[in-house]
Amino acid sequence: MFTYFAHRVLVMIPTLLVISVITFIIIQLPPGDYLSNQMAEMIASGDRAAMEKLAFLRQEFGLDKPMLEQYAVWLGIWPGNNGFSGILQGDLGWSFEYNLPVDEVVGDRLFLSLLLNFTTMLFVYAVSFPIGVYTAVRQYSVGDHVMTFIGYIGLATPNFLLALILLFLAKKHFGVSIGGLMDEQFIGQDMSWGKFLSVCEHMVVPVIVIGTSGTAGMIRRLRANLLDELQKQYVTTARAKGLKNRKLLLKYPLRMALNPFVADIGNLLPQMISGSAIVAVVMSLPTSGPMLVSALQSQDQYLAGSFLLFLAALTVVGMFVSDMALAALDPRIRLGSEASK
Amino acid sequence: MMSVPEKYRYPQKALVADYLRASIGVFLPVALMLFTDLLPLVFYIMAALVVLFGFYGLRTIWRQGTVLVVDDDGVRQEGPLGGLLDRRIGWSEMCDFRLRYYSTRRDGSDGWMNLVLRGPKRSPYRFGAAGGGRIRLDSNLPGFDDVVARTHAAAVTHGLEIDRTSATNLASLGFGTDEERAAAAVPSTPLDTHYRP
Repeated sequence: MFTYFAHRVLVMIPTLLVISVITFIIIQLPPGDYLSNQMAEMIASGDRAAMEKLAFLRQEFGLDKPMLEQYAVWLGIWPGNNGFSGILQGDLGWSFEYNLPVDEVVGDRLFLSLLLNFTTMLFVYAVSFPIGVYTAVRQYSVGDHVMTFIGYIGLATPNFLLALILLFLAKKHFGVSIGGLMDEQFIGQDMSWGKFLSVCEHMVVPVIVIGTSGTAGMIRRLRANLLDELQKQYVTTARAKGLKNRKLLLKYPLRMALNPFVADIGNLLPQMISGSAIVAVVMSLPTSGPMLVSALQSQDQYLAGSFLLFLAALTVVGMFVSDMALAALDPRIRLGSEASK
Repeated sequence: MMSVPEKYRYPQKALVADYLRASIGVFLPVALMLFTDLLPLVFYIMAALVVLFGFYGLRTIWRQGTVLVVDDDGVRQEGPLGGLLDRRIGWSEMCDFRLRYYSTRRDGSDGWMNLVLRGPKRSPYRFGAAGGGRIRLDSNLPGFDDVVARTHAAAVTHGLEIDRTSATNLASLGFGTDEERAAAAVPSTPLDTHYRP
């Protein structure tokens, strides 16, 4: 397991590097940059000093340097105008749109995104695990049919629609204020008990909205896997030998059925993050999603790059956790059809 | 009749990749720590990587100097350090046999096997070739399949229970009793492309 851990960690390093390169290329792909777009507007409005200003700003932010050098400076492995000052040094760069350092613009957004997505993941697992097991063990019962029906609705309903419906219901019946992740008086304040409670209260609806489709999918997958395992011969043999149902279920088929469940941790994170961006726009959540969309539209390259890199790193870490859990749970060789999954 | 003890050792060629991994894992973070002014959190992550791969490298060095001896009495691991980390597990005192398969690829191919044998618990105050402890082997050890076959035969002879994961992996190597193969329920597929001996 130690060898596997070391190999897996080592695989993460080039993965993150490649992701950072791709991220940087993506944010550089559109023609021009934020400054040239701004300057075009200034020249059109008759500002004669625009060209000199453009040249000065390009030099100041290193935009006149080759792309490879810009990338190395941005990452913090090559000295720029201010020495080593990049992502690895905690300097996320400058937001041209807000005219502020990226870390000041981002503020709590990255943390709130992380908190929201992590809570959603806990919600998905906490809800889908007992329901998945129940629907498999009590196949074709009334409870199974009801849960399956709810699951299908969860899978079929678009997140933004569910968000609008739940916001309406939460406001009308529970008095929860619409939108945001905290009450207005806590915005920009340091973390306090009151702020924490406000965040928890506001997080209920987004977590349900973002987590519903994932929960529904997970229930279907766990149910199908567990049903497969329950029909295998070793289960019949164990029952014939007198092993109690609960013990049998927990010791053998459930463990085997958990593999895809655990393996999904890695896939769940990117799905939730991309899903939560749309939900965040609908629900006015101060997470990274809406700001990322705006940064990409305005070619605010350092802001967009920082977000993309953070989200990608989160995904890579999710995959790592999922792989480690899977290796600990069931380190078997998988051949044939299973190998291609 | 006593059979001749079989000796196995990791050749340098089999450990080149491990040395390379250890070098990359140590030198890359060290270079970043030395030549750039890292954020404290990143610095600690890099330091953790140095410790992890430093240990990995030391273990690889130790493996290169280790000889595995399998004879009629049991299995012994004799290494450098004046026998400080030597292990000896008699067949009759072997209490656990685990065969695991790991792969860093998403399709599970090109992985490696890991065999763990456990003897009775060692006293923390007894070093050297005293009985007991744990012996771990990876499948880049030439003759790994032979060691698995022999230790498995001894485990079966002494009535050791083989878990389902090990049974599946044994079956994929073409070993295991009929009962274990049935429990593992895996087809006997050639492993050429999936398993690195």
